[in-house]
Amino acid sequence: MIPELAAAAAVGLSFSNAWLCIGLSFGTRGASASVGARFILGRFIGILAIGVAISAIGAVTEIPAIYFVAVFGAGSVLFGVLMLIGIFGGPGPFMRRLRHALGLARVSGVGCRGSDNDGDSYLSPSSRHPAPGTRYPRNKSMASSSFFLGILRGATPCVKLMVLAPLLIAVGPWWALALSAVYALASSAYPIVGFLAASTLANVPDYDRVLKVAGAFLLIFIGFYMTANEALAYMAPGGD
Amino acid sequence: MSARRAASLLSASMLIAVLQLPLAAAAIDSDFLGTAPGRFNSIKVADVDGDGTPEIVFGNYDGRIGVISYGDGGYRAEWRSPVLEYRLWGIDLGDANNDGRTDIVAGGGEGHVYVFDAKSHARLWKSPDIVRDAHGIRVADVDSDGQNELVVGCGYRTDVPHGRIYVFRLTTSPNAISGRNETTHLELFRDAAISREFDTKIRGMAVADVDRDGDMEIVAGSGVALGEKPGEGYVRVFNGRTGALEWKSPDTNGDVEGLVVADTDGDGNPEITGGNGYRYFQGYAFQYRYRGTGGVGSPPVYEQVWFSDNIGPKAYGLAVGDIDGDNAKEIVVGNQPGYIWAFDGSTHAVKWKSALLGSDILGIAIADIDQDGTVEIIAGQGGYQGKADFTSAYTDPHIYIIDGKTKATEAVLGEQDYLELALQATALALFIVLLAAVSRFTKKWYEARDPINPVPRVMHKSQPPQGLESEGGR
Repeated sequence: MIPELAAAAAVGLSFSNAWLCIGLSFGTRGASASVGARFILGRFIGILAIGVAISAIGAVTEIPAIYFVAVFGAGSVLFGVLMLIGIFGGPGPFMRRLRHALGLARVSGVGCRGSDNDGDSYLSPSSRHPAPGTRYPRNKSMASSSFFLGILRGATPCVKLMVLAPLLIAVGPWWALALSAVYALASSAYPIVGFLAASTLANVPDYDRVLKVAGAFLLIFIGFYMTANEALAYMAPGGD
Repeated sequence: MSARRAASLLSASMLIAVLQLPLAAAAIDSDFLGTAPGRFNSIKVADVDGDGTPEIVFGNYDGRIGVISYGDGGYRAEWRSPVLEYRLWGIDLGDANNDGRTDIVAGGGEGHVYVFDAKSHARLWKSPDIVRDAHGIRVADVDSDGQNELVVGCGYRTDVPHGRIYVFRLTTSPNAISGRNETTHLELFRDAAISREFDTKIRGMAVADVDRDGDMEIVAGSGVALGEKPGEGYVRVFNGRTGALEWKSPDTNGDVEGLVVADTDGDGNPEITGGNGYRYFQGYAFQYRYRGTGGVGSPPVYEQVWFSDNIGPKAYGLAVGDIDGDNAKEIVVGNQPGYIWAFDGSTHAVKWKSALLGSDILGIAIADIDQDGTVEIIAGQGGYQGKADFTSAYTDPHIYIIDGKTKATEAVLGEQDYLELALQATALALFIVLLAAVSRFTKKWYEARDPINPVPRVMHKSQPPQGLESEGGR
């Protein structure tokens, strides 16, 4: 099975559309390192799941790829929008930040005054911009959302996975798991590139906010791009 | 382990791996083979130029015909046509224009068929515009009049969502004005069933007296499905003298893009052997045989002799012959994942399955190409990435020459994949290490710039920002 494993590695390393994974990883890393890392981990697990599913079912096109892509695209756009309006990454409970972002927060004095779970009171940073480099507590909902976004990304059929699909179908579920793992590992090189690129910027606090905004826009753009691209392909079906 | 040490170790191990790889025999490179050589069985072997040694003739995605010959213990590129039209995956060899010389006939994606003199490589004829993807090509005397006809099956995608079969009779005669020979054509059976539009992707094509009634039949395999849905495909048998439809098979659940008529079990009755598949669905090899009554299809005059287990998507590469010299025929099938299967022509037991050779082995020919007394399997391998269709390959194109008896790979025409893979992996690994180093450097640089306020860490929730205007790292 060495040639099969080498083939899976080769597909994983191939560049086709790798910029999408670089961009997504860059975007999630923009939120925080743990969010970015969870995206990569989720993507890995998503690939394993779809790889075994392809092999077990015997075909991947029973459900058109447009549905996978649409769900992922919506998730990516939503994630980016929430990052952008400060729902993610700010202090305080999720619902309070959501109310604030939607303009529903009770305002007293300057900006939104809220309290965290411990009852301490402070000004919301989204009401008055914090100085560059301000880091906020890690947000659990964001980290888990990033993880699920990664799973969605991994489980969304892409060109590279489609190239590998015939082999996954031919080798059976157990070997498909091994091949998927090799593929996922090899193709993780590109998200890691995105992660490290964002980390480089994140290490200079002056760029922290720029990084967050750029990352959010990148996620939104990729979500729309993938959905539109797949919709066009769906409208002009092929069948070699 | 430091990043620098890890980078050094990785680079060294990659370099060692690269140096240990065998050097590619670059006599025939991937440029010559082009993209996806021999797809849809557009790879044939015959002594086309009459020099006493057989040549490999193939078409490719880029639109060229390639001719490779064997001599002095090696393979060499003999001729490559100019670019005719892309998706040039219809190839057959024979005297198409009835001038007594062997021709190379090629059909392309834009719906044209070209006839070249196999020896001089002069272009003799180009068809009028026909339905696109003219890939089901056969040169044969379909109406038993002593003259060859050219049968062309066409059809592809949504822009032309139907297929058609054309039967041309080509003749060569001197031009009244120029005095030079010119080839003209006449389309036969224009009002018969064979000329009606049906299905699409009519790539499986054979001409033989399959029901042993004294008339030749035109046997065509087709596909129906387009887009993301289960496969659907049929075999049809047309009368070669009238063009009437004699039989339509049941749905084979996939495009029938490999098709051979031969007596595989040696009982004197020919079988229709097919290979099917559709996108990423399962692929099968199967056989039908004329029975007269009590069969399957419409009318039920052919029986289903065999339907293999699922052997992987797109089992399109197909040839029949005695590959191992045991005086019994084998059915040799190549598929999209990249394996070649050999089935016993009589018992249908699996006699051999190759190692993974690279994706899209969709063209198979059988011949003693090196004239060593042993038959070789000649397999065209390599995918492409079509518009709106994920069919790219993960390897460069190759043509494999495999000994039919020992199954040893005698030659791999094209270039080594693993060298490229190793270089790519090395470059990517080095880039990642470099990025990690840059990331680390920026952090240290920032801290050195402002040692009092290092890169800020995550604050505790219990510690609200103190003085928003001045909080943070700087």
